[in-house]
Amino acid sequence: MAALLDDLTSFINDLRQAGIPIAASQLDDCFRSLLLVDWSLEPAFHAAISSTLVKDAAWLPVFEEIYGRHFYHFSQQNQAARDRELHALRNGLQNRINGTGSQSGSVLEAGQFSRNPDACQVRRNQSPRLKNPITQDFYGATWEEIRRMEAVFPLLARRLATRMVKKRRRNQNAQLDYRRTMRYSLSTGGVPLNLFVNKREREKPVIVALCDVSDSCLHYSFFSLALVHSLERFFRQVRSFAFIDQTDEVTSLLKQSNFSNLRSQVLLNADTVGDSGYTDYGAAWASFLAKYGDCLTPRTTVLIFGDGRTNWFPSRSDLLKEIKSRVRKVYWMVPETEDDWAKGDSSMESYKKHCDQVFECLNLDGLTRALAQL
Amino acid sequence: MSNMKNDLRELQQGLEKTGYICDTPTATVLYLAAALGKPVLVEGPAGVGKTAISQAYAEYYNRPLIRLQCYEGIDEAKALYEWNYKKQLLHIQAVAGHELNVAEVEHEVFSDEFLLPRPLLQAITSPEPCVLLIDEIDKVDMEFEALLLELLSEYQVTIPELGTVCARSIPMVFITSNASRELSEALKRRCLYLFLDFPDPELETRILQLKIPGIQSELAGQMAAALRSFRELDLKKTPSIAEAIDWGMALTLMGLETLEAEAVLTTLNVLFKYREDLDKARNIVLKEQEV
Ligand SMILES: Nc1ncnc2c1ncn2[C@@H]1O[C@H](COP(=O)(O)OP(=O)(O)OP(=O)(O)O)[C@@H](O)[C@H]1O
Ligand SMILES: [Mg+2]
Repeated sequence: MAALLDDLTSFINDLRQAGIPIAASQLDDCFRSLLLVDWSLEPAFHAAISSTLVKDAAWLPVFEEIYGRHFYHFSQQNQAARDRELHALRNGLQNRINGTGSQSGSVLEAGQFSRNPDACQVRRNQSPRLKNPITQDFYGATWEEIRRMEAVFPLLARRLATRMVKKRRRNQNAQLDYRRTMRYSLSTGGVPLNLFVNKREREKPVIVALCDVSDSCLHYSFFSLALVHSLERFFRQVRSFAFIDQTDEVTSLLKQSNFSNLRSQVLLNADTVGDSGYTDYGAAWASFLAKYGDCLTPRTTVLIFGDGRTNWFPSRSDLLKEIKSRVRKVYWMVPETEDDWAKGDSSMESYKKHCDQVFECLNLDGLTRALAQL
Repeated sequence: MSNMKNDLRELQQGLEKTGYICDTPTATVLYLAAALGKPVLVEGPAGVGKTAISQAYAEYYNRPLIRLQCYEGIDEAKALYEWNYKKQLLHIQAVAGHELNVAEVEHEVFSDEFLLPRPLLQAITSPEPCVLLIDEIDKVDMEFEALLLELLSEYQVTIPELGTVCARSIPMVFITSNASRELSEALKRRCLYLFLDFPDPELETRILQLKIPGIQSELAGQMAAALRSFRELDLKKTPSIAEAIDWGMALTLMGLETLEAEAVLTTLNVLFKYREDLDKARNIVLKEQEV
């Protein structure tokens, strides 16, 4: 059996493993397409695979990475060797399509497709598994994985924005203004030709975002900051603050920077390190209240992004309580599951009491879901 | 298959004659869509030629192009068919004086003559195969998407008063989306996916040369390079191909044969519509000038 066919098998397994959803019918389409194109034309070979297996631009970078890993050597081969492989693969595919084509459902489901599991196994061990960037946890992600999350980020931000638009629109339920309608109808002989409605504009909150930018939740915080700012137009105002053991406002820094240099801009220019240099929620809140306490009003919604790990410093939940007493809502977005809150130096258990709601945001998916509820 | 390469080249050349340049991957997707009888779902940023590709395709194959422009709140009456109720009322009034057979009149007013076919019905009842463009599908809601999906898988429509209308021809379908909303898995599975991105400088140079009469090839190449670096900026609105063409028109009107910083600075407003974007672009032009 052609090495290429095995490679195609393990290629598809890798795509699925990385989170790309591939339905059985897509495999059919893929193989049928492969039989239609001339493989000596690499862009055509590539297009046949990508147009049938990937249906969402967000997945393209992940797809390209895996494609390169599997088919790089193929494009490097000399013509004769390539033709031999192609011929064998073509026959293999043709047989499979002919052999099982009359069955209902897919011609080639991945399970039966992996005829030579050992061969795939070897290959699989050589290449690291790719994780789904949308549902992969921030915690423990490598830089390379963070890059992949950044690649899908713009799409997620846009989707979140549309979700918010829809929600706003639904909330503006119009009500008939009887009085105006009646008054106006007098001039048209009592026939209410024009209906007047009251549109209730929901009052937009002022958002105050507080972000722990210490190492333990660095990536998490930057995705959060970027996401909150991408939603700026849905709020009356967005002000952002970063802290480690001291709080500094980063609103204008965020406005000037773009997503790619956000991290370095904040780390270089914001004054977030005080006496200890270790995360200290108590100290951060004290300095926030002292410097920026006036932004807490009954129209404010406070969003806190952080793991609540206080390095055994006093948690000072009394300060959070004070913040809560001065604003409309306090929401906390934690990048950890509730099971972990009681462990180690987390003070989430005591902070929780002073929040209107705590959301677990382990990954991009969780984060966008939580923000969509605002 | 052995002629596949030739077919592709022919398709590319044919589309180019109508004014559309497509690279090999794009041509392959069109080729496969026609061979497999599947719709093409085209996604990509604004102004990269998502709409233009179906127009070029229709022109090249000399097929009628039927376009359904989607918008929020579009419904069956606007997309599929509608009864011409004004005409129906007039007809009923016209026959009102005569002996009336209610059933007969009813049968009359719900006939072909009173039906207003909208793009989707037009497309499947077209006697010759047409090109159906469903533009900006991400603007419609899920229910409407389901209706489209049904039509695209069965190619028939049931009109309660008339019965089932079967397709007289299967159209080549293009669906475009700006990805503002996630489309249903079912629809995505049904289509071949074509992601059109901003073109690389080589392709853009060719587009500029094709679209701008009399442009110097050196200028086109330099513009394409400049456009690439502009698009790397973090902008509110990235300049599209359409804007690039306008820009080239402006520069050639000024009589330029190569790109000069001064001329670039005075024409930047063709490319950038927002003050902040304009400033960012101006900055990199000035920086470039220094070195
Ligand atoms: N590959 C190409 N070859 C020639 N012209 C092109 C090409 N791509 C785009 N254009 C030009 O760019 C213009 C804009 O393209 P078009 O309107 O199709 O973009 P779009 O992707 O549909 O944009 P939108 O998202 O705003 O609807 C077209 O009128 C066409 O002149
Ligand atoms: Mg368009």
